[in-house]
Amino acid sequence: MSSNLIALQNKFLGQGTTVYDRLSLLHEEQGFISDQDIQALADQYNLPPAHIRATARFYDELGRETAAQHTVKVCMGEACRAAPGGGCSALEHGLSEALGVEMGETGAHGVRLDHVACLGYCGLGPNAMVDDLPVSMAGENAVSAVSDHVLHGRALSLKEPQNAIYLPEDGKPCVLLRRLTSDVTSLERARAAGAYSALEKALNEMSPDEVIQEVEASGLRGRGGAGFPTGIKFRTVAEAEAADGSGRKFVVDNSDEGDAGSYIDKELLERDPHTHLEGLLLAAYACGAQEAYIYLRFEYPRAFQVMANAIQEAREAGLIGANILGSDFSCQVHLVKGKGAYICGEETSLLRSLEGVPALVSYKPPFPAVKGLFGCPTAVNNTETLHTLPWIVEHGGDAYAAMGHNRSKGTKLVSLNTAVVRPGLYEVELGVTLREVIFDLAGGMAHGRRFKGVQVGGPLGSILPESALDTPLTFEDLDAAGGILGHAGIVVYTDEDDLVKICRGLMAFCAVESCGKCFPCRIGAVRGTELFDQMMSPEEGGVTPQRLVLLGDLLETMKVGSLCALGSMTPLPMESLLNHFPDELDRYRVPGGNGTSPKVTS
Amino acid sequence: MIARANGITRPVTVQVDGRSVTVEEGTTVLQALRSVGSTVPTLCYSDRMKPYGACRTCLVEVEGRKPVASCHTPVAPGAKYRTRSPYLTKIRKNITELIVSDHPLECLDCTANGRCDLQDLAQEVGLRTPRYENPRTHNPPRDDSHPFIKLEMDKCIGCALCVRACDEVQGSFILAMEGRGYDTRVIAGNDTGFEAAKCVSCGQCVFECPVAALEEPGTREFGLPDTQITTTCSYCGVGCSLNVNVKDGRVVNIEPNRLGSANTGHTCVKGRFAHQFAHSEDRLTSPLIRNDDGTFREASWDEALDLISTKFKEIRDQHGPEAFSAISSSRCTNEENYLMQKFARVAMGTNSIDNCSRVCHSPSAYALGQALGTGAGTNPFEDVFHSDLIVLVGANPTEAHPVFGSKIKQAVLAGCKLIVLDPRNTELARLADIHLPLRPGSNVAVLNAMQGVLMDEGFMDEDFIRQHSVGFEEMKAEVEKYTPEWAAEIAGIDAELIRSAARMYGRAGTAQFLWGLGVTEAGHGSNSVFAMINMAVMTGNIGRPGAGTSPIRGQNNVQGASDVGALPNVFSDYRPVTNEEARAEHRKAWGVEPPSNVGLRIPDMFDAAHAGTLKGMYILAEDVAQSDPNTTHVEGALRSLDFLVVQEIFMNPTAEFAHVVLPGTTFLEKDGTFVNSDRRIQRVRSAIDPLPGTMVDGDIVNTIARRMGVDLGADDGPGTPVNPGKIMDELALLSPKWGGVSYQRLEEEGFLQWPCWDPQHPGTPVVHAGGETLRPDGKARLTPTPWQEPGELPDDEYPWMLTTGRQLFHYNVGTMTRRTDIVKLAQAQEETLRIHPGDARRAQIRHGEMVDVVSRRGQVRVRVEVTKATNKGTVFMTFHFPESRTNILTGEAVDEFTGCPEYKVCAVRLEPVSQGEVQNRPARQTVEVAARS
Repeated sequence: MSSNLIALQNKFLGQGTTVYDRLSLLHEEQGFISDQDIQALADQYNLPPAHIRATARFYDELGRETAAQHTVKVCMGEACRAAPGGGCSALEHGLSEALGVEMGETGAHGVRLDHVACLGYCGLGPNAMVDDLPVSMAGENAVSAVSDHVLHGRALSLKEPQNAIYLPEDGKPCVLLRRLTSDVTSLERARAAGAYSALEKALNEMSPDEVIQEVEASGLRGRGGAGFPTGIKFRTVAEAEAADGSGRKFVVDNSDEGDAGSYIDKELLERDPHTHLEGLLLAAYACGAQEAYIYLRFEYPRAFQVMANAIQEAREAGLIGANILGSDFSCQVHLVKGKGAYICGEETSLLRSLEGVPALVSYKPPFPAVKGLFGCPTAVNNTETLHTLPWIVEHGGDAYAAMGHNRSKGTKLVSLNTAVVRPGLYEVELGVTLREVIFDLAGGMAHGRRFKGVQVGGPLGSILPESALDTPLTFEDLDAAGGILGHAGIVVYTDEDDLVKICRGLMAFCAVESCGKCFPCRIGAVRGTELFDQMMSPEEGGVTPQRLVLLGDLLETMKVGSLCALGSMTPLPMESLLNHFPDELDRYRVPGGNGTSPKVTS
Repeated sequence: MIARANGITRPVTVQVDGRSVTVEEGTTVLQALRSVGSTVPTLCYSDRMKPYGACRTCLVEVEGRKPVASCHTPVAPGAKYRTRSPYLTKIRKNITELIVSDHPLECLDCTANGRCDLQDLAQEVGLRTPRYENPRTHNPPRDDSHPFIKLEMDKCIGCALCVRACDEVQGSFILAMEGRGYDTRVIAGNDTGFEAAKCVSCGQCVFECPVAALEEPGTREFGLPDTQITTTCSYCGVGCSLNVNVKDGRVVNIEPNRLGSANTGHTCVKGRFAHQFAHSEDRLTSPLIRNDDGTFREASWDEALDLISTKFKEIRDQHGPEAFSAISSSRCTNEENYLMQKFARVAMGTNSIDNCSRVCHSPSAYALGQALGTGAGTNPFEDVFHSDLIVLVGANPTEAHPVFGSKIKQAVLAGCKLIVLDPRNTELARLADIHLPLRPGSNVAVLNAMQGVLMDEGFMDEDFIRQHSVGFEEMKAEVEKYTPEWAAEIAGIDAELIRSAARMYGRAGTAQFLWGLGVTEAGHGSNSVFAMINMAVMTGNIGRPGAGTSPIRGQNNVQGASDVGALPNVFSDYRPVTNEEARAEHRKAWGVEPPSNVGLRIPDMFDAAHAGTLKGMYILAEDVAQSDPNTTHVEGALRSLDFLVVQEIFMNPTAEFAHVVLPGTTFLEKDGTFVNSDRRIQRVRSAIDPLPGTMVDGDIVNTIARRMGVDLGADDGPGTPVNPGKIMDELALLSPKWGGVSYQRLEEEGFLQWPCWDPQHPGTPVVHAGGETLRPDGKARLTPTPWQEPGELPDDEYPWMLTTGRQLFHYNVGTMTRRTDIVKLAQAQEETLRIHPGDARRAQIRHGEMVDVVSRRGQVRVRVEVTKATNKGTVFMTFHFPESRTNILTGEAVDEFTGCPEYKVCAVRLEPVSQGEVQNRPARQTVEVAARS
């Protein structure tokens, strides 16, 4: 459907410029996109207004039609839901009262209260975003500090929080965090710490194919969740040809880390942007791409700023652009800001977003590696995956493959939420058990709470019970245990957390974030949310055998029928609920009910 | 959709429901399973569009793997697919349950009842009532703004077929899915409703809707149709195949035929929605005979036909055959046109028979015939998908030939390059890689300069020229005189644009010229066509798919009317009336000696009438008083005739001059064939009975002949109706290129593209294969095309160039479209004079004002529309509106080879109308010109 629209954009906006770019620019300027703005763009560029409108209204940010003087957005990530003191729902209530405005509305005073997807401060929640600044709302006076600022014009006394980062102990493998012993955000300091030496090595001493061979030897698998072997992906892109004969190829960095509970990519981008760019350029060199895109969500404003500066520095130093480091290799890097749609973390949706058309998921095959951005071969890789490449080029694929366990090689970053004593970001060798991560590294349960379950891999991950704590953190072992490694955001639930409520929230998240294309996800997530509401309401009869059968049918239909992982994996935590935590449901049974929850296999 | 890796496909063998099938690599599982007769339900799939993968009801099981959606999954070698199982039924039922949970259960009140894909699916999987309690459903407002397309979003299932149809088939991008997730909804334009969104009303969205979220008029008023008839559209030359839905002898609505070869399941607003004229109360339903006082009285068929046969005999016998002429109709069938020319030649003994191609594409037919040996386009419509470059000259197909226009648009958006030569900033001009906004009348200058560039800069295919052409040196000698700078001066454009266009043509591997009346009616049309053919021959762009030189014919059967011999100089298949072999065959078949002197062409007929040598005329369905140029001259001619018979479906300005008016029938009431623009012979089938009081046109001609004692061999005996199949057999016998055409083959094969030499010949989509032309010597003739000024140029008194053309919503003089619901569309209300904003300022006229447009021949009053769609210096009007009578303005200059008039080049001045004058003017005339009895 979209290829015609892309052709129109190319004709009327210029090659590679998109409606999304125009809308984003306008939104940066004025903070909203009105109907008149859409018509004006359509008239100015001779483009169909329906297309511009559909593109704009796909995104939470571009969907806003009116201006607000201040916007306060409450983080809705799982970690914030499970944060102490009632989590984000208590915060939402408190802010609504203090600001005198309902959720989703703009008050007469010009203050808007809204939701925002995970801000990536999962160890410090609950959190909020005041205009463009993320702040921790964990402190007692946070709500009044916000209202003083937005209602009374006082300076905001809250500061942007800082996630804790724990480097591996001496002697343990350290790949991704290795340069974080000091501030390496500037090009000068990064180069002093060794950044771009791998790129230099590759350009001077290695052919693109040799780079791919090292990546293949490393056994590196994609860190975004799917775990696809990175070397195979690069080789596919390197060998594919654009169908239009243009010879164009792309590398796309998926920094749309929307998984609630994950702040892995965020920290890498904010703290070590040049190693990241180096990884991106190595990927482009290996694949034969002339252009690279970084797609970075707006919920990470600091990361965006840091990356923008880094790109600027690198460009001025001849590390980006034509004939990089005096070689034949040329590559442009574009930094694109996401505008609030979780689904854009799905690779085909992300590509549609970059193409400027509504970011609906596309079926695969054709895979992006063969037919991706603008129809050309495209390597879409997660931030952390790219960040690993300089190390592999420096030390060789075999050295990387020596780390890890089984078919899960190397190290992985994990992030933990406030339920543990030392929430933060850790680099671990794959194969470490969940118990070691939660109870040894992170110090075990905080605030005297008891462990109930752990959700690994974001909102689409299963919730594993205590019995699974000795599962090694690898793709294979977690899969065997009925879970996923995913992107390895870890959210620990405690005895204070109501998993039925959590699952309801996850279903509602799917309903809000569904792109709306495939029927099982689009309709199913709404029905599922309603079903949870009915099961949680004594007035409506609570949990009944019929409702559990219907829920089971729905989960199976979404799993089998959905087009992408959002619809097909949202059922995983709910299946965990039915299988591992049946007692949680018992609380919602109304006397007189006669059923027991059925087992659902995953 | 077959994916080809590196252009090579391998066969893949899979099993479907236990049966083995081998298909091309890249074939989808759905295509594979259908090929062995298996089926799966689909709600979001249409074979006209790319797979979408939304509904997921087409899931199939794969042995040892997870189920896959069959519509978009390519077959995997060795895979075993299962399309039915209790498990699949369960999943499909669960999906259906989800859909139905957000769909009103009002089947009895729904126009899709009984032909709803969702209803069928629910029955197939055994779904009764969804188990979901109190589901939140959508209840958005209805969009009733459009007369033909109603949107009821609460019924929408979100399959996006409508949006994709608007994008992938029509190419208008009016529709989109707005929002995300459950609240995703269809919007038109900037969510302004269909009408305000400037929807082109092709109706494809309604056609593709699997439920009744999009609804068209018809079923709700009349009920479900009882019959569906497949026929061919009678509007433009695209030749769309239509399915006419009929109930109780009345047309309920018309849908595209998915199997139609020319339209591949697409239609435009006219073919789809503008059919109500057939049942119009304005229809002529009785013969009318002129009283002495000039009024008409109703008469019986007997009386009228007797009068005509007597008068025709009188004219023939008293004044000789040359005192009679006939104008046949490109609106009627081949069989009727064949009868008409046979009537003139056999019953009246004259070759003075012509058809309206005289005033449109006669230069195309002439030049193509001279240079390549056949008077028709060289390549089929679908070849736009095989071209690297299309050069579109003087044509606005997205309005005048919308279904073909959409194909061009799709090809261009898919990467085909486009050059447009047009004084107007048309939709395709805006999409073009190069637009040359040349002055009306300057075509030959620009095309000559382009030839020169091709020659100078070495873009010639010398081998091709040597092997396949004659006349190179003569052409070269002429072309050498012209430079881009010289042409640029005449055309008012930049010389570099001309150079770039020529280079783009020279560099393209496969390029084709397509043109419209902006070539043939714009001054020295034949030379323009010769120039394009020269360029195609010079670069070897002849006789290959995607190459060639093809006119886009204006009327449904204007190609056919000429093909079957309704021309003064040729029999059917363009065989000269002077050719002895052809004469002998006709003599044998007809049993009489055909007249041998070339007859009168249409403009000559009017001159002869003025001169008094022409006494009688028989005009079949052609409103010459309105559509031919220089209306005053035409009217004078008609007035001076002793006897004029006009056969029409409505009273019109021409019929006003008739002595007898005969009520004919519409295409919906008759059987026969049409030939479309790319030589496709297709069946026309009667969907409804002739309106009481009317007669099928062929039967009228045949009966007049019978009453004159002449048997045209068209019926199965005296008193029987015309047998069109029998006429086709005679036509095939006398026309070598139609030798293999028969009704039986047309029924079986759907269409045949002539040349079709014999019953075994498959027809010829691309003529002149391999550069072997149909000229006797097999060579293409390169023709010198000397520049001459157009017959009319602006001066101080008449400073503006008026050019004319069609708009999307109307057809020709509006006889049909203005009697349909099309007039409910705001965009189709009234004639306007379109003028560029800068020019409007200069002329001191404002948008919406009335203005008098004055040419050297007459003046009309019209409202002003200020728009950038028209370039500076040129103003534009259509000729659809009887009340503004555009052709009062147009001129008498004609093409020197064919007599085709220069409608497109007319110098005018604009005179603002004072406020008082406008108010005093009577209200806009209505279209009705009622019969006075």
